[in-house]
Amino acid sequence: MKTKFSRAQIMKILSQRIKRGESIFVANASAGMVAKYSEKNGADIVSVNSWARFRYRGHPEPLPTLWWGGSNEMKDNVFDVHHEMANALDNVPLVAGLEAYDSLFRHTDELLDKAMNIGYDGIQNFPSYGYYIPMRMLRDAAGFGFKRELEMIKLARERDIFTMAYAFWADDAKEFVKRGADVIIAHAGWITGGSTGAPEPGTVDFDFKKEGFRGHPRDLDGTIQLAQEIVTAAREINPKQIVLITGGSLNSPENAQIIIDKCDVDGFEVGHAIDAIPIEKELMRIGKEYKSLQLNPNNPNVNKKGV
Amino acid sequence: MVLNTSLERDRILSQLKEPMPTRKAIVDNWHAQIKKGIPIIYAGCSAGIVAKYAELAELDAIVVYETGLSRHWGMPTTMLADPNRWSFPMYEEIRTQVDKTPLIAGVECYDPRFRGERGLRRMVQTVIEMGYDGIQNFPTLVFIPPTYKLRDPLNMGWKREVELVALCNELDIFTMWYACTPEQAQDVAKAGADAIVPHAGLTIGGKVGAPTTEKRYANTMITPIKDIDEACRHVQEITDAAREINPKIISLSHGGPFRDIASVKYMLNNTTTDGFEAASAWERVPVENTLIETISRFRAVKKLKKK
Repeated sequence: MKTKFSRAQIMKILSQRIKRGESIFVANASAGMVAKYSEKNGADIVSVNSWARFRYRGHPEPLPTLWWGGSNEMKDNVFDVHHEMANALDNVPLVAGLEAYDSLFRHTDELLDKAMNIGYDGIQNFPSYGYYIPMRMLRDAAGFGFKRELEMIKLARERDIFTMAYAFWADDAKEFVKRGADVIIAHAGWITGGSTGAPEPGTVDFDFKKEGFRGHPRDLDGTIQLAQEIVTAAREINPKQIVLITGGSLNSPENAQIIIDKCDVDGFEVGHAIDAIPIEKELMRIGKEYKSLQLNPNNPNVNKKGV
Repeated sequence: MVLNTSLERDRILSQLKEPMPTRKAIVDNWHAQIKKGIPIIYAGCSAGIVAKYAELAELDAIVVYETGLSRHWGMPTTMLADPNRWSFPMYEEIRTQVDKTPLIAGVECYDPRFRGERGLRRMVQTVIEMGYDGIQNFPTLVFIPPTYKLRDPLNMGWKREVELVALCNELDIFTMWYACTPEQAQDVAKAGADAIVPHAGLTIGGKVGAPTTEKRYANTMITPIKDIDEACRHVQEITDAAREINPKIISLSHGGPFRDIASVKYMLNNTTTDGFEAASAWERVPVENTLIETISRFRAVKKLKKK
């Protein structure tokens, strides 16, 4: 059986990393194979959610404004994939992304119970409505918006469940810290890289800022800026707050190194950058190499004169 | 309003039929490449992501069967029980990534839900209606003659696999058939198979590859052939036997020590086969390698300057 981790045990793993001057590395897994090699190569936490499978099916991950609920029940949802993930793991915390604003889970306590009973060691607010203010307002008025994400984190903390909260805005980071989130993950928008990544930053002509929208991808500087903004805000409330970065231009170990050096985050969460991008690169390379091999000229079906 | 009953619906539906390459188109395309000395490479794909890049890397066919799922779970290649119930629903995920590459269905032809001669026809109807472009015998009993000898009297053995080839030949459907012995290769060549896949046992290598054993029972051919020269002799013998019946039959080696560019290059240099089936060598070993490399590079990221 995969080892179970209490909140205190996970916090100890993370604080030891920080003490040693190392980065916290959360691997978001899209398949058992990805989870397995994440643990074997030193990830501190494996996170899973209902949407990561899109990457393993070869698609871009959709932006959360597309769907307003139902993630917890969709095909290959976070509960369905638990067995595949836990089966590939031995001794690493496994964290579930839960859709707090799912209208089929009006009772958030039931959502948390379901995740913990199935064997998860912690929870995240994924998908999140955090990044789009008008949509948040609309859905909050209906009772199924961003406020539910705040409530879910608070409720989890009360039950001593480990939590990692995605924050797109400084104010949201503060609210999550006030509610006891163990880790804040600064989200720098849709991740770029590979053929299934977001459009390159700046290539879509739209005033995202004016619209109150923060899901757009950021370049490296923008990613660092966003990370620092969230770190500063979170640590105003709790100076010891653990803050990670994800999304935007955090799409390679090289960029991760630059980001880690240039701002005060404690580490990062990566998904697309550990599975979709490298698998694409490796398979394209190896596929072309296979096709460039030559058949034996003694093969009776090969034209000996060479066409 | 006059209701035009079924005719209008038929007119529309007939325009929405999925395009399908003819058997002749696939075979001619492959022979044209072989003539130029280009090896035919086909990929076993059980996830959208690996199918997508098989198509983009311009491999020659994509085969869907259930064992690949176990690879993506991070487990050793595993023959799963009730295989058609696993593999048939994978169609949508794979097809959506595949526009121009022939998509081949791996079918278990002893599936009790498709019993008898009528059942066999219904099975072909099912996969062709789904939208597959050809058929392969996988999972198959070619590896285990003691089992298929016992099952043959119940019409659940090798003879049924040969019957399926004959039926596809009658219906002009492309077939690509695993064979572990020269006799099996001749059986399916006589029944009209377009290609044979000489099988050297489970693929060795990578992180969860098949174990190699010194002893290989004569009739348990799932055990990998360890020695590459012996494996080359094995696939050559099967190829020669099939070409005795049909000189134009296409021979695509698979398994055993053939797992990467170097070993496949060696195989093509030392045999007169026409290409290679990459299954573990496509969707497992390269994915493992790239995951390990990328994840360990992310793990190595740490703050260069101490705070």
